[in-house]
Amino acid sequence: MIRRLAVLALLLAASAAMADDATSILIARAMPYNPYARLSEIGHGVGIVFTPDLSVPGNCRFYESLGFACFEDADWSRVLDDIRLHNIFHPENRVRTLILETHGTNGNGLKLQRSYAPTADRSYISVGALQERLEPDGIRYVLISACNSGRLLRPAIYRTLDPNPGDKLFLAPTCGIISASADFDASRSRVTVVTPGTSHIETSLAGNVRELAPVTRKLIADSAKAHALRAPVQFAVSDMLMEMLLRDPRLTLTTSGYVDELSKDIAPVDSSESLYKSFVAYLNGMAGRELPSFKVATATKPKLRTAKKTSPTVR
Amino acid sequence: MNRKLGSTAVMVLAVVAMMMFGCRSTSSTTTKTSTETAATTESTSASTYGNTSAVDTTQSTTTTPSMTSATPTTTTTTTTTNTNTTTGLDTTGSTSGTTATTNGTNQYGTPSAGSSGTTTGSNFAAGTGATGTVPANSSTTTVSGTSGTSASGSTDTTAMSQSAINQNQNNNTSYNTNNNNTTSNNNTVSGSMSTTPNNNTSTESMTSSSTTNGNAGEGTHGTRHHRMRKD
Repeated sequence: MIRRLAVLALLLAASAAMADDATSILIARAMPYNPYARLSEIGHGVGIVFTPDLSVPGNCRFYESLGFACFEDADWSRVLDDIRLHNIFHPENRVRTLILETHGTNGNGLKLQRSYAPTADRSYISVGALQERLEPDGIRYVLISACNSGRLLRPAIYRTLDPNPGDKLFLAPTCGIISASADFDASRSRVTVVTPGTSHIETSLAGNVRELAPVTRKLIADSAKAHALRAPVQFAVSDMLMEMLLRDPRLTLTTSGYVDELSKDIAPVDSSESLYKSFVAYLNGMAGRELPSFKVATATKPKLRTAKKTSPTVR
Repeated sequence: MNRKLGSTAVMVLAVVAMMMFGCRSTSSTTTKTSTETAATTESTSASTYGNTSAVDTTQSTTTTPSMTSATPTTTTTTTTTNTNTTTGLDTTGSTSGTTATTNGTNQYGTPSAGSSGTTTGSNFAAGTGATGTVPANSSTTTVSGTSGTSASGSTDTTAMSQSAINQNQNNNTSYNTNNNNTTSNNNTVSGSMSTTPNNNTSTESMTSSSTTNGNAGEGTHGTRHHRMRKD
């Protein structure tokens, strides 16, 4: 009798531990860790969708140099087409996991837009439509890094977005709204939608490649060249993406449930900056291990620059 | 029959006993010596590379010294305006305790970087003017001489030569990180002085301004990056 109770207790403890570790499991499945990956293979099998107004010039070049597939457009139709074409023409690096670096429009729809100008290119898509459209292309995980992503899963807008939600952020859909078909059944979809454990305001940081170590810059430049790309200069990276890549214990993800309440919670700036430092160190660490013999030929002291004032344009 | 059963039971008991005691009495000793030496060297270097720059740091200092003598009245007003503007391409990097020295029109100093750093100018040395000397770090101008029908000393109507001004400027950004930053500075200093002689009133004004255009090279990412909300 005592033995049975002990076994039962062990089973319960194990199941509890597994529940706590759900985020780790999700990450492991969506972005499997490859200890032997080179810097140019970090994003293998992973695609990132950027809304243009949360990106920086040449942003996709940075991610493509790291092995990601990158899509940046204000029109969801074109993004979906590009994903399909990518998976057709790049069988060696098919996108299986898609990370959405987009707006959440206060949880009223996944939004891509060129800018906040009323007439700017802008489109919306529902979560159900994403599942429906991406499943035939082989996408299995969609990770939403958007504000109030938990609200996007509300049953009322899961398949079809409300075109008049009464939210000032829901600007004119100049490039349309994509909704799922009427008979779409999310429970039968093979696409798993992953959102942060808590619905809040997501943020991105604009970084510069020059902040990376010389060896990292060299590997990125080499990778860009191999892809017939110009070396990237800037990049935008979200807290959530950094947490996923770093396997940060603070990250919590979920695949179930929705949230009604609009959240204004936002992580402190210091937290983002701390993550960014770790992210840079992560890239530098990988590059250093990949090319340990790399030495900077010239002195590391930077040249004197007399560039005229230029505003940090981040778009 | 009973005897048979009895003997069988005894045998079973004996077997059980042998198994129990036998198992316990059997001893097995395995000695395994394993020596592993793993040398792992891992070095992690914090990123000290990056771009630092500065954006629009403006600082102004106004010093208005005045002195008024009894009869006649001599008033000397000195206005020193220092404007530092640090600009750059990027929003990263910072400067720690940099000191920029301005001599004449050129300023070469250690870099100013950091998008939101504050540059504070101070220690503006004296400028010579019509009546007396404007001491550094002072809001009081002392006019030598005695009161009389005119202000003593020269009520020089010539413009003050700015070259006579030694401007020592300390720039301190609000972030303290160690950088190897270089900033080229262009300082423009202009001065003017007007004096009204024989009017018992002497007015001296000096205006100096410096503009620093800095674009630092690589440095730590000590300053904050541009942050975007995904709402």
